[in-house]
Amino acid sequence: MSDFIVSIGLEVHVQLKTKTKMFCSCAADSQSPPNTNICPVCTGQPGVLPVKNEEAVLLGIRAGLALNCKIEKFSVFERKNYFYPDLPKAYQISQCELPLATGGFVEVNDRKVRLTRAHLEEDAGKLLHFIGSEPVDGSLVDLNRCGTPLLEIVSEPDIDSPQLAFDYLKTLRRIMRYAGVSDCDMEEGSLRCDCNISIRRSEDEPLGVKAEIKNMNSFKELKDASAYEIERQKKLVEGGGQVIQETRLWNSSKGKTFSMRSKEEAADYRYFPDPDLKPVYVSAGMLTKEKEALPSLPLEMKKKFLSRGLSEYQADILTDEKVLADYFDEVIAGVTPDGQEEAANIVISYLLAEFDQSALSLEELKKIVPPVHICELVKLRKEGKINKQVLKTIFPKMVKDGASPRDLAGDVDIVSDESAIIKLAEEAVKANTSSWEDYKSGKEKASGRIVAHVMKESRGAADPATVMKILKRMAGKC
Amino acid sequence: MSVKENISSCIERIKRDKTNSFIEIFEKRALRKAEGIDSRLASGDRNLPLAGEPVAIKDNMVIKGEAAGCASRILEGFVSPYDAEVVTRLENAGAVIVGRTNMDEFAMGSSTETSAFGPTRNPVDMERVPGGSSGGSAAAVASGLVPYSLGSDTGGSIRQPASFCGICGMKPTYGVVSRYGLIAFASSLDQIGPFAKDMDGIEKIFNIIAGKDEKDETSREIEKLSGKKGKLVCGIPKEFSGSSPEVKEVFDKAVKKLSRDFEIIDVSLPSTEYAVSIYYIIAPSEASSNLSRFDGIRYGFRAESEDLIDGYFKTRGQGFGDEVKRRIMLGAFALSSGYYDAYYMKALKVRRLIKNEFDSAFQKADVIISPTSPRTAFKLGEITDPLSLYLQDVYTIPANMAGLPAVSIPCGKDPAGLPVGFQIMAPRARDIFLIETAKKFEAVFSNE
Repeated sequence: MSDFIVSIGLEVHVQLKTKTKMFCSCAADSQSPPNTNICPVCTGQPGVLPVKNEEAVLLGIRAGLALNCKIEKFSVFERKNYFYPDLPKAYQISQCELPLATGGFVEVNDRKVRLTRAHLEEDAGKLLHFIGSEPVDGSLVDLNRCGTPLLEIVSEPDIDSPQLAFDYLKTLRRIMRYAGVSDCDMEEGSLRCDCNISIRRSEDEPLGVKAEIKNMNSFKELKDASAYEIERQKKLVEGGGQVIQETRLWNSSKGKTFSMRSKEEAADYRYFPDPDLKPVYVSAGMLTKEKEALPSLPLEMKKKFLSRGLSEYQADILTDEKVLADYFDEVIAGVTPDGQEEAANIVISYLLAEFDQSALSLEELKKIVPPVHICELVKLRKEGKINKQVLKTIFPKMVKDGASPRDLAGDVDIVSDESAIIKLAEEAVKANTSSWEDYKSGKEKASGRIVAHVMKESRGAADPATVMKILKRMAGKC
Repeated sequence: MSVKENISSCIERIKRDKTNSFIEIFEKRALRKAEGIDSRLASGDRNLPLAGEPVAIKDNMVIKGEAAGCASRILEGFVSPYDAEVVTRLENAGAVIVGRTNMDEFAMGSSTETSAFGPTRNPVDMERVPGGSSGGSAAAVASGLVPYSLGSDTGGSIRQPASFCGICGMKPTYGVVSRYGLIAFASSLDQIGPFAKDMDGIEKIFNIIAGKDEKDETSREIEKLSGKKGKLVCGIPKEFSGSSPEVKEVFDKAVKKLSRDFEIIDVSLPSTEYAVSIYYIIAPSEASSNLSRFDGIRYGFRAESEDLIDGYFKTRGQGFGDEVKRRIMLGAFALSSGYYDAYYMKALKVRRLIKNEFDSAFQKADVIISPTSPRTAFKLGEITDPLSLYLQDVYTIPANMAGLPAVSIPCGKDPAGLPVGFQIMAPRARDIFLIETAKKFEAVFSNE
């Protein structure tokens, strides 16, 4: 089984984050009630004409730059002709022969996945099916999505495993979100993916006949569907069969792919340049503008964080979202080099934990807990002014009212002074005489109750390690 | 007389029309608009260059709240949700649009015989066709129903009917008049233009409808500069030699009259020999795509059907006429995988050659002149073979291929009394210069 080489290429559609649609001035918002963001142009009324959305072109350029593509100075919109009720003009305006961006690559783990191209196109509408129901028995069309701008990113068949396909899509998503090009939300459909899969016996052979898999609605489905498809093809070939070129649909509830149409049944899209639209000319000014708009990308941020002594794990988490990476970047600017790992710990274990529980977005959370508060915490820890217990106590308060850790630490009355702890320990021993006897007679576990008493009385301010040290001393154990 | 009275007598004239020029009179709307103009005039509004002028539009331009149908069954019941840019500009100037005129279905024809609403007759001779595809708009002006009308010209569809009906018709430079709201036939060739009895009328309408429109990416401004000083040079393409003896005689006479004041030279446009051939690749290709939206799902005619696919076949099968179906099939074939390079791409290359040849001809000549059509108006039903009909546009199609402005003005009559049109073509964007020149020629021809 292992002597097959797997080749996977992905076609990814990302919805560009423009205010208006690709060729008309309707809001690019497909979540509104059906058919509320529509006009004569995007519903394909007789006589209408498309006009390019400059913002979409600029976002396309920025995306291309983020993916290391060559941005073509001259690209052409073409018509892809086919009939379907969600496509009002019966053609989709897309780019075929001359796309906006060519080449490029995405670095995934330690691999480079090459890109073929990235091109602009408009989205179709959505069909809503009400077959056999009341009052509508049939299908209705919602054209809100129709005409929203998409960038289709086509990879070379460089991906050799379902895991790499998964990681590639995750990485691509992260880059697009960093670049501010798209929300890339798979559930909302602003990120969609089709996948071409083939297998062959050795590197010397040409690529095998590919099957195109559609209808994968999550990252996991991409992984599952490609794993299933690889196994299907392997079994087929090992059984003496041949893979045929076809489009297959992933059925997630059955966990299988099913043939949708073969190559012979494939539509002839009769592409030709759209005579209603002028070619896209990318000026030096547009390129410069987008190069300037392009922020540091995830890989760059990750490398930076690694160089500051963070672990792979920490760097991955902290670069998952741009706002988090930016946040942490501000944090490390305000802490000494020996405090950076501690800073990462605080952000991951406390801030992100709070974030997971909270209804706030990271941007909103950032306003309440500014990076400088994390820097203060790190400093207080380094100075020994607070311990983990105190940190745990005051962090929720920082999140609750935006108070500075230094003020909160004052309130807690940090018990750094041993004499105060000794006093508390003596009280605790008096209150738990039987435990104390047990402890003295060698039952180490019996100390738990006494330590807990001290912690309670100190409102968490005492350091448990210090309490133990004192108890040991009192018991004459050291 | 008030605008309302004037418009209502215009409507009465149209109602008595025997040529079948109109598909629909917008009576209510026109009278309402006329009242509006009357009150604007009464309140002292002087900013209405076309105040109260009745204008008819071809049935492929849309008006909000009114039907538009390209003289096709497939658009049965369609009411436009928006105004064409030309409609907005005309109405802003005070014009009153009185109705929509008959045409060849989807502008595909040269005789107005392919209309789903029956043919239009030529007011000069009711047995003859008015030309096409803008036959209704030409006949409406020729018979005096309206002073002005709009047509569209994809391959001669304004100039040839102007010629057949003995009036003036202009196809502006491609892009000079916005196509927004013109139901597309062949997008890279379509151009809206005016009909009028004389060039003053053409100029009046042209000045209102011309100019860049943000809703049409292919639209452009005109060059305001006018003619040159010194003797104007007219080039006659030696390839334009297939005229009937009658047309040839009238045209030659007209050229002779011009030669007193203007210099006449020969020019050569060798690739125009292929203009009709490539037109019948490019125009149907674009049409096959443009007409795909008529699927019965959102508007227009919908046939009873079993399911989705059956619906497409039946709706389009019953909704479109034979000529339209013929061209959709031609276009779909020319664009299909494996044939695209041999047909469509090659046609675009020839188109480029034609453009280049015109550019070099305009190095020598200021305008290029020819008969508008190789023959005068033919009888209804006389030409049934599609190919022979296609060849009627041999002199007009080259200007569409090169995107040039061109007019047809009357230059005389053949022995049967049928008008002969005189075509003048000018360099791209030199529409003003073209109009000035045509006025001079018009004066020469009408002096006799």
